[in-house]
Amino acid sequence: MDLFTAIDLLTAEGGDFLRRFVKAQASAGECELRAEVVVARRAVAVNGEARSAGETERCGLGALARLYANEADPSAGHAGLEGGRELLDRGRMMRTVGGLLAASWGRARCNARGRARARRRFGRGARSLAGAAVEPAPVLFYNGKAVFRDDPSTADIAGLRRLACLASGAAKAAAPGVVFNAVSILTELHRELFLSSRGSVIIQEFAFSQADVYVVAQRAAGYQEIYDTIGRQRGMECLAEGTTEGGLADHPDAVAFARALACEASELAAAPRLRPGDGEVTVVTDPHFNALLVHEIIGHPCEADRALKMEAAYAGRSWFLRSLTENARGRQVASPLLSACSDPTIEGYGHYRYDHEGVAGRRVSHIENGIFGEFLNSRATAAVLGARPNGSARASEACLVPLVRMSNTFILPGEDDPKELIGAVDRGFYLCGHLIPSIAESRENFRISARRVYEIEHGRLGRLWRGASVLADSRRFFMSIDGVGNDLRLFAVPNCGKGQPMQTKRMSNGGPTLRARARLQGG
Amino acid sequence: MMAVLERLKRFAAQARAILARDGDVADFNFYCSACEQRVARFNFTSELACRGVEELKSDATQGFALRLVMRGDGPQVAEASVCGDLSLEEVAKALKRAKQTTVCDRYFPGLPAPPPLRRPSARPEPELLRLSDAALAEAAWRTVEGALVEAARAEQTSGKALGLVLGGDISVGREEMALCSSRFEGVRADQDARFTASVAALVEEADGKGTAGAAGRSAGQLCRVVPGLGRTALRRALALGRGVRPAPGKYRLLLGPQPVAEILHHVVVPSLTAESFYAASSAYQGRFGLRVMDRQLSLADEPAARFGAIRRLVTCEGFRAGRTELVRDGRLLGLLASFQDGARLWADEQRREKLGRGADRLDGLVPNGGYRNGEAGLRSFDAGIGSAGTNIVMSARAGAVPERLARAVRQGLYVGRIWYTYPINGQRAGDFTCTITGDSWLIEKGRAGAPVAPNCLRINASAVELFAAVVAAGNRRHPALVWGAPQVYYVPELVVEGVALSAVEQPAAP
Repeated sequence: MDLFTAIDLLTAEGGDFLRRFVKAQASAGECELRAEVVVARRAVAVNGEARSAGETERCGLGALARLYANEADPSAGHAGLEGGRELLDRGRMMRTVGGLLAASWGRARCNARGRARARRRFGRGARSLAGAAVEPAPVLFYNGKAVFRDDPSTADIAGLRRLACLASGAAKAAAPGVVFNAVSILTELHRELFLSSRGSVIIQEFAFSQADVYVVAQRAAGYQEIYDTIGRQRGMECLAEGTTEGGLADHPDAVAFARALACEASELAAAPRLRPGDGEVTVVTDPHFNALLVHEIIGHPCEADRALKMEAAYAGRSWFLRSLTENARGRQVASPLLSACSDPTIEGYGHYRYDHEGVAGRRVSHIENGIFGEFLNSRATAAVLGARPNGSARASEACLVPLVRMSNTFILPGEDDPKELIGAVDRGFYLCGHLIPSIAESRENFRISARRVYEIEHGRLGRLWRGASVLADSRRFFMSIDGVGNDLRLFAVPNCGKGQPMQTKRMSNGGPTLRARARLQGG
Repeated sequence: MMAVLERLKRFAAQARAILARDGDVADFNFYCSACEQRVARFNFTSELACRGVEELKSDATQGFALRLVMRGDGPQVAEASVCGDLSLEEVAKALKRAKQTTVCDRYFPGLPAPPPLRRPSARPEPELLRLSDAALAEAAWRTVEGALVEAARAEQTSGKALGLVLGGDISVGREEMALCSSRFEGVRADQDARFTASVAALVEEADGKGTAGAAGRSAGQLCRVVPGLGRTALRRALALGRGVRPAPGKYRLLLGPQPVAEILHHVVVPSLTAESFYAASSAYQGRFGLRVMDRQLSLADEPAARFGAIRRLVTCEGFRAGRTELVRDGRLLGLLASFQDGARLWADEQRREKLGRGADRLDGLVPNGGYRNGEAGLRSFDAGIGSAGTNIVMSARAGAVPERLARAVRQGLYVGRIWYTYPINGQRAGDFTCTITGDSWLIEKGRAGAPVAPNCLRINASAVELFAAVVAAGNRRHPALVWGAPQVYYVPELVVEGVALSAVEQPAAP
């Protein structure tokens, strides 16, 4: 019996179990139960030789209780755990689920007591503790399958190991000065279940295959490290053969990808460091650079929990919202040439049909022709914003609480030929590939380093530099955009961290080539 | 019901018997662990509907991992891990599965053979392990209420709504682990529990931000200290409102504990691991034995420190978790190293180039830092063994009292909180950037001056240069937390010279 059977077991019995549990409680409330079985296989090679290989499987469970203790707005509690094959035993599974539900309900009660006391004690000073409602979710039934040719759950580990060694060997031999490289290949099959005491039953399946490559090159002139990822919601075939379907997220095979990255690191290690002047210059940024730009400066601040200051102690607030009356909705935040959205319905590393609150994911238009539109939200944050839930609450694992998350978040393509965007620049810089971001508290200012920087002189690419980053105030930068390419690309982002405890989530980001004005900062 | 640690120890001993019987296995390592994290998150926003305390939540996991060296030609290494099911049947299945994942690793240094431990490894169960949900909720709500008392007082005085935002969390983590190996006798085990609490208060009406934090190992400490953090953070925010926006330029800075910890965590400590030297990606490449910081400064990892929020007695490879001296009087003398990482680096043909000539005097690296840290920084069976720290302690020779530190600055800034501190040009470059987000003020004529508006300045600097340009250091170590870090930092305040600050434009009203 494989571990996916645990999902079948819960699908058959979990819904009734939840309803009976809620009915048996003295207070009114509701419960949600999420389960996820993951079967993962991976291999790692270093400097062309196998380092490790293995497979794991786990079954995560998470119970969320919302308790309506004489209030319209609920208090919540949660309990999660990760288990394994012991959960294939029906009795043990239901006892475990019962324990999680009881723990989450008990925590919701503790929380409700605290909130009631604070409201009694502080009256008007705690008035905002009333009215934090949760938008209802419709009752849904869905059963969707993952798309793959090579089943990740039965992938041949020797095959993964071989591919990791080939890719790492290719990187080692690709160019002079490659002193270290590590290649990790993984393929995973996830089956998720969402059950609510109101009756929803949503089953979704995802295949993820991903290659992470890290290269360090050292030449007489200097050194360069590069880390990058390719990934797709597919089986191993996408890493072994690459994808050339003509889609936005096409990528090379793992060997070609590792080789190219090593060549780039080697070339950069021989390039001089840029020492730019103080003033603003014309910058043309490529789709890979803009993937990180949209992630940090549009995507994150469009998350409603961040905008509503729920992340203020961790990852800050949003430059799109100061208050419910003073915010960017309907106002100009960028050049009319710029539009950006999140769309989980299209293919990409952040694709899904339903979020982890049982709400259908849909395209959310953040910026349209420079005017701010909509935040990504959860059922709770939608209620505060007076919006409809748009299916953006997701957790990285079933045992963790859903947070508001990006999906496939990108800048929409324009009409310009990227070559013409460069060609029209008399003097400026072309920045390709992203390295590392640093952003201000509300993401109203950023510094993002690029991998390669070329001088542009009289419309032509000149010398290659390294160690430079774009330093800009966000609105000023977006308002300065005067060209948007027609070359939209999406890139897999494997490790977006958020929350406490930290959740690392997969998604995709991208955009077309952009032309704007900004300061450059050297290394 | 048997205590978790006893159950893990018994399970490891039983697993050992199964692994030792297998004729294909030359050597083995067996590791099992259980950990849980419970979190209460604050979220109070006076102008937006909120819950005060978000859902109390938890995440628990247990499982085991085995690592095998197979008999035969060359070092054939195999691994497997199992989540949840701590049964001997699963051990047998994992053994079979591991054999199918064998890799031939030419540079595999063998499994570690740690010497016998001189004292029993497991300590009595800490009281924090038994902290109830009700007690955690009570501590969280009392933290919020502490801030609300202060807010009511301030609003009454000023007659204005503050626009209060209170965020942060109390996180309580527990970890238990047991391991055995063909390379040492018996079962070695360890357990620990700790809490961390951080609170950030924003007064939006005056653009003030203040923070407070605590870390510890006892439930009494949690219940006693944490509820006051809401009030403390808000008082700081109120005191630092309506700040000035200093002009960009080069400044002499007095860095508070959080900025020192943040820069150490994101830029310096990752460069002080055997792994980073092996990968040729350390900012201190080739500088082993040389001066890498100002001579006043020393840096060490102290897993058994009495004052430490983390207390570990055994590493995840079975070694006694001892002190690792990283930097003494400014010289780089040690690295955080697991047995595996240390041995690989030591066997590396480019070792001399990577470490530098100073390493010639060493016999090897002390494997004090081999931990399987999961995402919450707790020991997790399914995390790989990495080189990591626990309580990272920076100390200063002839440290000065705070008033003297301000005098040493004369004209400059006190920086109390930074964030998003990343090595912007890659780890090896040592460059970093971050923004100053609160708890900061001007220093004028050696005294505290006007508050600095949060989020108006960005630091662009080199960590290597910054720690080499220390003008003065404090005489006290302060605990400091870094979001998402598995380590807790104990650091002095530092006066540093010539740090470049660029301006962050004041955002226009949306």
